[in-house]
Amino acid sequence: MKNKLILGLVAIMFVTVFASCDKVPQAEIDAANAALVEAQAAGAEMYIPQDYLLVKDSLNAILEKVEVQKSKFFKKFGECKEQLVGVTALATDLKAKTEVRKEEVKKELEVALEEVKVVMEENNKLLTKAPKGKEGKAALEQIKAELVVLETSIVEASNMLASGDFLAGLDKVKATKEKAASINEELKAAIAKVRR
Amino acid sequence: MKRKILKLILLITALIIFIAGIVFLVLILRYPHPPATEIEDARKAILVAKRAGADQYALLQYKKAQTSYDSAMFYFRLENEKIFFKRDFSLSKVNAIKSAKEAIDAEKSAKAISRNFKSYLETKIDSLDQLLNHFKDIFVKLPLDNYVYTDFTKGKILLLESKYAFENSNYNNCNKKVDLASEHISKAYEVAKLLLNDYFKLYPSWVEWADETIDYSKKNKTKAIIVDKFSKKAYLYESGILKLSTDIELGKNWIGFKKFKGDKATPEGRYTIIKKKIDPHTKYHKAFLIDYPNGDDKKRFHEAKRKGLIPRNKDIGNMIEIHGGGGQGANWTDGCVALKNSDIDKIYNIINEGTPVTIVGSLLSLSEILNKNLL
Repeated sequence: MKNKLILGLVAIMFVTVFASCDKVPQAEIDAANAALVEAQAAGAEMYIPQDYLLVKDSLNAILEKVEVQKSKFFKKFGECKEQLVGVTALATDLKAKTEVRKEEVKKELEVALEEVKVVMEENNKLLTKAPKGKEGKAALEQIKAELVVLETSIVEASNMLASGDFLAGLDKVKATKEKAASINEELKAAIAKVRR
Repeated sequence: MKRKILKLILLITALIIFIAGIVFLVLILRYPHPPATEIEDARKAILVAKRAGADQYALLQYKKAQTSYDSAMFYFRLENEKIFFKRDFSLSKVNAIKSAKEAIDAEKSAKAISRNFKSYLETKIDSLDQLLNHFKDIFVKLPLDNYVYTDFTKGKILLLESKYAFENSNYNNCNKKVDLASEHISKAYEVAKLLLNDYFKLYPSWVEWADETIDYSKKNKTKAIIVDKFSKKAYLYESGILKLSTDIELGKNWIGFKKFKGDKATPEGRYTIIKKKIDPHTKYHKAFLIDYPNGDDKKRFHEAKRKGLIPRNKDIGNMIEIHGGGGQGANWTDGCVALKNSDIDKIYNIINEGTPVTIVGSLLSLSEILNKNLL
């Protein structure tokens, strides 16, 4: 009977020692960190900032949990491990979403650039049709000066497209488009006025 | 004997287990508690601060909070490396508490600053919009060099970009764009204002000429025409009373005196109608020829020529008329005053040769014009 008691106590001690020696999920931590770094490098912080913030915070929360487990006598990393796998998947998904959003913005920028180029082309054609000679010459001179500025803006936006600065490029091209459209209306009105 | 030895071993083992149990219990009770709650609170506070825009508007406080959090985690990890009874999490805890406090402060500051910053940006954009409209209303009509319009357009595009950045809550970028826009628009505005200040030096003379013309009309019970170049209006007086006002168009370089033939400037001075013309004698429907150049014009022309301000081969010019063909929406004449055909029709039969025509730069002072457009 007493022997059994001793054996039981020894068994409990073994279980205790083994239970307190659960391994830190370093491979999972490294994988999660790497996935987040990749998402950040893809531009997640810029293109989908809220999602990025959420994933980053989730990872920080898990890393805290890991430390908490490390500080305990009976360490259990099972839950942390699962969560790390989950957050790694989220970070990978975030990277993919970033790429998609980036592509959307890029497309939007490309389309806007094409549209503004069309408007500018039309503006240049309208400029040749606009009343020459005395009539409205001063106004046309101003419009010409404005068109030169707009052409520069388009070049700048195109450079932004080439360098991958899509968001700033989009803001620029939107503003340029708005101004080009107002010139277009102005020119059409001037031509219509003369025709009348 | 064997039984006794076994009994002793058992007793010693039981004693060891008992002592170990006591030691274990004491250690468990004295086991250092990790600052998990404090660290979690700090992290959550940082997240809230970030969402409030602390990384934009309270960057220093936000960075401090982040650094304190990193320190808390650093000490947490450092202590975890030690054997459990040697661990001391107090430094980690202190940093975590500090971090949470700093993050809360950063959040409060960010909220206050962003509120102020937003309204500051709105005010800035509004005032620039006002300046832009002001420029559009007054200065765009002025004969300015192309580089001024280039600055104006650049400013306008940058202002639009800043509005997009504002809509996207990208306030720092918006601020940068507004500043750049302001730089360009202000530059254009200053050049135009300088031109106007110079132009309006003659304002007292213009008022005197106009008053004398109205007085003349009143005393002699005659008609008189006053042309206000700045407001692009012509006024018809009869016996000193305003009877009619019409829109006009001028030469491209309408600011200032006419210097020589072909400069596309409309002269300023006191003239008289010397001839009435009607189609086919004029290509502009109907016209009144005035006696430009008068004595003052000739004197000014010769003096400028003597000083070398006008090329030697230039002529003073003539054939300045008030004629039809207006309504083009631009200053397009060679220096004449153009009225719409319908307007010249209204006055053609009631105006005779000998009617005084006074052409002035403006009947309103520059400050009146600027205030009128700004308010």
